[in-house]
Amino acid sequence: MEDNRLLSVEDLSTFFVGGERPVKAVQNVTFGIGRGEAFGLVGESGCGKTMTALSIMRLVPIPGRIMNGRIIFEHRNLMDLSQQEMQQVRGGRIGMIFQEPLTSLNPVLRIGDQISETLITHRGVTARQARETSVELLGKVGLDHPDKRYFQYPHQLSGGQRQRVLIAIAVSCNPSMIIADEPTTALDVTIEDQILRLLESLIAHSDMSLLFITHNLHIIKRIANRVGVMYTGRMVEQSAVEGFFREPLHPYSRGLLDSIPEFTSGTKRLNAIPGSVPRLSELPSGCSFHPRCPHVMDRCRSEEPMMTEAKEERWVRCFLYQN
Amino acid sequence: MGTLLSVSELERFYEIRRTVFSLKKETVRAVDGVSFDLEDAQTLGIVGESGSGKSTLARCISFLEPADRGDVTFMGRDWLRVPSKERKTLRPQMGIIFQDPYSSLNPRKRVARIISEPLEAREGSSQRELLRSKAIEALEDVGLGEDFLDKYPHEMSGGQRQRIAIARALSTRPRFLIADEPVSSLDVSVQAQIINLFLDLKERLSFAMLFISHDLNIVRFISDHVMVMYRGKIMEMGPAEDIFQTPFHPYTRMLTGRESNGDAPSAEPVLEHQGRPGCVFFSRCPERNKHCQTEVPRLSGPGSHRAACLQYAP
Ligand SMILES: Nc1ncnc2c1ncn2[C@@H]1O[C@H](COP(=O)(O)OP(=O)(O)O)[C@@H](O)[C@H]1O
Ligand SMILES: Nc1ncnc2c1ncn2[C@@H]1O[C@H](COP(=O)(O)OP(=O)(O)O)[C@@H](O)[C@H]1O
Ligand SMILES: [Mg+2]
Ligand SMILES: [Mg+2]
Repeated sequence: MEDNRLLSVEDLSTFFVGGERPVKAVQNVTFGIGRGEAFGLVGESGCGKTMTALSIMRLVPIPGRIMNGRIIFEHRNLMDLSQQEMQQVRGGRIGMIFQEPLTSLNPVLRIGDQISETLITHRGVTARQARETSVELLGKVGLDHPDKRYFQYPHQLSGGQRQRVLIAIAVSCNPSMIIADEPTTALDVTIEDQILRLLESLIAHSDMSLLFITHNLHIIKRIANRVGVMYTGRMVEQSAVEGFFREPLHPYSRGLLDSIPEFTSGTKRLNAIPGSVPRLSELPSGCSFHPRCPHVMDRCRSEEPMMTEAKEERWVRCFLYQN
Repeated sequence: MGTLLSVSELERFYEIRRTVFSLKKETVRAVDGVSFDLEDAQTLGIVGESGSGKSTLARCISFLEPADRGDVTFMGRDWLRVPSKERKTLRPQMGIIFQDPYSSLNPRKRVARIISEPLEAREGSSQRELLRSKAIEALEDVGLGEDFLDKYPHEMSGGQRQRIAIARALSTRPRFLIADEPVSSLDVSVQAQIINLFLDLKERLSFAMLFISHDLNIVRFISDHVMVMYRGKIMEMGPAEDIFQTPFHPYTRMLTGRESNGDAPSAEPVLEHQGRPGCVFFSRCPERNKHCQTEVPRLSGPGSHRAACLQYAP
């Protein structure tokens, strides 16, 4: 496993400072992704998924700050790189697809030119080569008439087509990893299915790795080899996908699955988790899930559990699994 | 048990300009000849991709916007044409909940006001004590306490706001509830709580419900019957389990993931095919043949499970 590692995130903490109390968006998060592996990061809104991804890319918005951690990618600690070196990693070695137009398409540039630009910046090809490759890529991501599409502007495309263009840009430089943050959340299920197929086939035909962020467990089940569950800025469970859906370990993981008709163990009702996700600035003491946990014990209220290996290749942050 | 709501050949078209610069107007057939019945205390789920006309149908049925043609019979009355005075007395029998609890609740009003409005319309504003006790009762319905009466929408979480919207809609104890994507903007764990709440309330208050959602698993869990819409038309309709276990229509199979749409001739919904002869789903259908281009399929099939597809015509 170790030498097959492409990315290792070690003890990453990212806080928003400047307010009265720091908002601990990401806290002591550790995980790794092997070559060719698809890692799914799942959790409810505000649990720190996007900040984890942005930390890896070193794109955390101000006043957010990476407080601690190492991000080893292709044997280099990204934290040590200069901004210029980071620029080469972003879009070059790591492709990004976001739901929000954060790094998305420029509305006033033709889509083909946007792909060409990436190719010229990262691969140093000529304008003509870039154009040829761009048309090829537009076809590869499943757009019809790629040679005509090249000249279209983002607003002339549907949501699904725009997401295809983003994927084309993301894979244009043959990156070793793609980070996709809720890439299908705004799309209809039928279009979502196609985008997922496209991503699946792109990974299948290369040894590209994927960090897929979503709140949707159906997608995790479909696309990921391993899954990490986040709750209030912490990773609470990390498992191979089959084991996870068969037997989720953390009570929060169990609760998430029980909230979904397809996976619930309830019959007439869903076994919903009581209460609600606490604000990051008002986290309960001990394990942050303890007020909602059906298995809460005394020590959960005062002590915070560490991530421990409960079973082979399965890690969980819960006292139920520590003796 | 009897028929509570009967919708017949309902139509709602919009004239739109495709872009701000275009001179030519086009017609969007948002609701295009929809007919169905809803029995007392039953839940009818409506599914379909965005733009298929679900919300427009809900708005026309609830008289938030006029239909162009067709009939709606509600509690035995010609609902779209009754004198406005009579509609006012019927109105409390129809509750409505929308997707985004933030924009559907007036941000400047306290919960007490928000919940009491439908009641006030019926009881008159002089009944202060009655209104207050009913508001507290409505809060209890949705698992919230009296302390919420003085809160503003922005002081609550998304899940709590949706509970307030439900409390408001059910405060008059309606026989019929329309819920348009009521859990779509909520996180999974909150979604589950709200779905359970709907099921509990339905059991206790036994109202009929039109439950709109693009999440098919949720619709399956909550509905007795399901209606599948595409481009303003009903593609398939029937008992929920039949729809999900043996979907007839290629579109339903696409939605339920039974059939991959990866090889479909056209992936995206296309506007251009509206108003043309033939099946509205033609351009995307993996099973189309030449008849589908000219003949309009009618909703038909064995028993209550019916589909609008030439391939499945009995
Ligand atoms: N600009 C900001 N200022 C302060 N806190 C922020 C900011 N952006 C995000 N956060 C906090 O970071 C947390 C994690 O956010 P995010 O990673 O976007 O969550 P997710 O992607 O899982 O929905 C949020 O709960 C939020 O409180
Ligand atoms: N007020 C309006 N003016 C013009 N077109 C509209 C209006 N409301 C809805 N539409 C169009 O009608 C169709 C159906 O929309 P809608 O009922 O919102 O679908 P759904 O709720 O299934 O997503 C869409 O093509 C939409 O663009
Ligand atoms: Mg996010
Ligand atoms: Mg709608």
